[in-house]
Amino acid sequence: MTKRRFIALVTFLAGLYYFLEFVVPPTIPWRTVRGEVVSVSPQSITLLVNGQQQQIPVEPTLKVYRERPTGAPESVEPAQLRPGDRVSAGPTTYLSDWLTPVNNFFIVLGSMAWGMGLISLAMVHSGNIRRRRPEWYGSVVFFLAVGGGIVAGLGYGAEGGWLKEANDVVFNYLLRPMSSTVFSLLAFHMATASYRAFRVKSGEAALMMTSAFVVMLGQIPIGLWLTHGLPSFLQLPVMAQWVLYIANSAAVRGMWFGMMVGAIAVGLRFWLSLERGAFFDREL
Amino acid sequence: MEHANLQIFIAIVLFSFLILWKIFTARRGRGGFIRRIPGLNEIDEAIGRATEMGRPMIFHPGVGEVQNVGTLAALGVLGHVARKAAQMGSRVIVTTAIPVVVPVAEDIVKQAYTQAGRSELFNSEDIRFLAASGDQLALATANVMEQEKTAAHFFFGMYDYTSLLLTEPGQRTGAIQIAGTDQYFQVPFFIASCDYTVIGEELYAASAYLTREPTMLGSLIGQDYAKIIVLAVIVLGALSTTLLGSQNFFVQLIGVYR
Amino acid sequence: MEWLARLQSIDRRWIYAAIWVACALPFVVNIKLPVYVSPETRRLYEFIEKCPPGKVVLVDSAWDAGSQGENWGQVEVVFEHLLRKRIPFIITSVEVTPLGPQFADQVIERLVREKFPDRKYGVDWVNLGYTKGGWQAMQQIAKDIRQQYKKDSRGYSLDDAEHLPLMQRVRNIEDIYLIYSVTYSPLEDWIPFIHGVYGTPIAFGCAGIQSTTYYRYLLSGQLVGMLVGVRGAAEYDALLHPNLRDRNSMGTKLIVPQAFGHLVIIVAVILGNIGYFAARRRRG
Repeated sequence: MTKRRFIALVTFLAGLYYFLEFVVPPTIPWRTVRGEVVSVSPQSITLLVNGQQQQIPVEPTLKVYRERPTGAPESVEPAQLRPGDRVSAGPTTYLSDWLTPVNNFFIVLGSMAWGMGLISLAMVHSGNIRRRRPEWYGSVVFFLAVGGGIVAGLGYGAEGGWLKEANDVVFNYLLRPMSSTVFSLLAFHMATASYRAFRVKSGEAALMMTSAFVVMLGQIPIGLWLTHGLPSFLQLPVMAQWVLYIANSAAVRGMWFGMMVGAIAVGLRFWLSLERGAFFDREL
Repeated sequence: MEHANLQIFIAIVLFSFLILWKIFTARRGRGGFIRRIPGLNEIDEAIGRATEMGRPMIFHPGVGEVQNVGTLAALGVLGHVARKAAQMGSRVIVTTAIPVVVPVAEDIVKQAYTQAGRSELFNSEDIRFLAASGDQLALATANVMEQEKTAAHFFFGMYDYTSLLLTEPGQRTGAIQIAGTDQYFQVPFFIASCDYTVIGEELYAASAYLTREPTMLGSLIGQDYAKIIVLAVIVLGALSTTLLGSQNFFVQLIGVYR
Repeated sequence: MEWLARLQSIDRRWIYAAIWVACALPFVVNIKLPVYVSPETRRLYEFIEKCPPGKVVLVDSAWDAGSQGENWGQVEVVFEHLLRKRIPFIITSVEVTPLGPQFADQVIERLVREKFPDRKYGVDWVNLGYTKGGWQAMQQIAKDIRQQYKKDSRGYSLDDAEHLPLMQRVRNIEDIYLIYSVTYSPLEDWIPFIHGVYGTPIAFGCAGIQSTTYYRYLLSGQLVGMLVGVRGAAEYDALLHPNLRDRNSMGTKLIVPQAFGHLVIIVAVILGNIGYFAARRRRG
């Protein structure tokens, strides 16, 4: 079997498991009993089904779902049931039982690629040093920083000592302030990007600009101060709330519907290996 | 929702049927029309421009995990960009913060250059894992833009707040920038700082649009049919609730979490 | 007119400087600004006000240094409200980041030191630390919190009645009045997997830019309230302290640079458009 067909088969089987786990009921439908709990014992559950009592033996393969007031089902152990609970009980289809181990398997599989990142970085930077490319000394700093970070990481959770000090210095006194600093760059970049890009070149641009000003001023006290004497529906904060609650929600919902349908299509194409351009140069 | 109820199951089956039906219809030669998407049109122009200037391009597939739909769509665009770049003899640098993306991107780009007969132009060091977090990756990518003097920047995939940290420095280098994301709240940042922006589901349509493959076109048309059904449900639901109250027959029929 | 046309090409460094001054000014000049309280903030405040005795609030404090500018204030004001009304609360972080509970500890320590010296750890609040598992962890917390956490962040067993008396009356979701998730972008999984199944009210504290996607949940009633960025924290502080002079939370302090920053951006955009139209008129 060629490599591509093998990949396609494995992809299909993996996707098939998740698809079935979602659409197949957690209990075998024709052997599932629905009713109201009358009594519970370690050996059996007594349900009232269509006016008649029915005993369900408590077995390792039994799955019980209790109906919450919201109408949604909740997986529970038989011992957690109370008289009056509306439940459905039946033998498990096993698909959901395997979900956590399957997820863990893919997490472990994915974590094997973590080494790839470090290897890729090491290759690039060692190449810089070997060939003395411009600013190669930055690559030396990279290796020193990796070594220092690994040593400092050993101090995580330590009670005291120099390792804990190193951990504090690297993560609390260097990394955290630097993260905040990088995040704060956004304020400057947003200002210049807005100044450069927002020009009223058309009617739509004018509308966008107006709503942007309304929302921006409505979010800050100055908007309240500017319009506090006007009727409430003309005050900037109230208008900003309308834009965010009504106009924005409608747009977001529309976009999300489109994106979710698109996500179904992309997922379907990858599952059935119909996707072209990314991994396959010809159809299977 | 841990498991599909009847309505969700019907919806999944119906949407999947529509998409697969149109895919197989398109494969038999009955394709369809896609409206113009300016951002995607300009990708080839940008690649040509970078080639003329003799400078490399940067492709950034976002900060999402490889199983994220946006990342998968971005990798589809990467395949197209790599193929065009290989045909023109140009260089593509891929930067990412997700280690799993490195071998996938490497495979895509290497294949593209090999098929174009330019395998000597492929350099595995051009597929770079630069940092583990988005903000560090953005700064490192900005550094690469300045060092390599890139002429075209492509930002496709899932982005968080670091989008502007990537595109603003990129603006200053004078490169042409094309971005596409399904993250609704990053779109304004891309619009403000990039030359062309692909919004929301247009990213998912990118593979179809660029390759004009019947499979992709059919999938796109199937999606549109599914959206029409969703629209019809919304309109009927709104009308029925307005005219008949919130517990009417239609709402009971559609009912969620039951 | 030529100087007007030059307004569309102001050197970006002037804009950076203006932003810098706007953000730094409030640290030099002590200014407090009144705020308009938005409906989503008021709803959260009134909901917490109505908390019945015996119930507990779960705070998913899942933020880190990058978003502390927005999330610190959101956590601070709600903690102050809970401590003031003696509503016990549990801190955790589900999936997003392990740093959040540590930051929450810093916020509470300051509040207890300055305003509520008689509040005690283990009685008024407990910090359970970080847990992984996404929606499965959320459901496990809902069914039996002891299945997800064995110990708190200080190493005490959850069954340790001497050090954690609060946890002796918290078993599952029935004991939780509200789940308040604070992070840059709260996980929407809380809504289908907890609110949808158990009906437990959920509230979010999120960054301003992320809030646009959550307004639809407010409209549908799936979120009971929301604090939006720095403004949400300042608004909540206004509800806690009607007198402007009594407000000194992070939100009240940071709304001032935000207000001035917004003004700088608005002025820059207006100047850019004046320059654009002047240049267009010159070209004829």
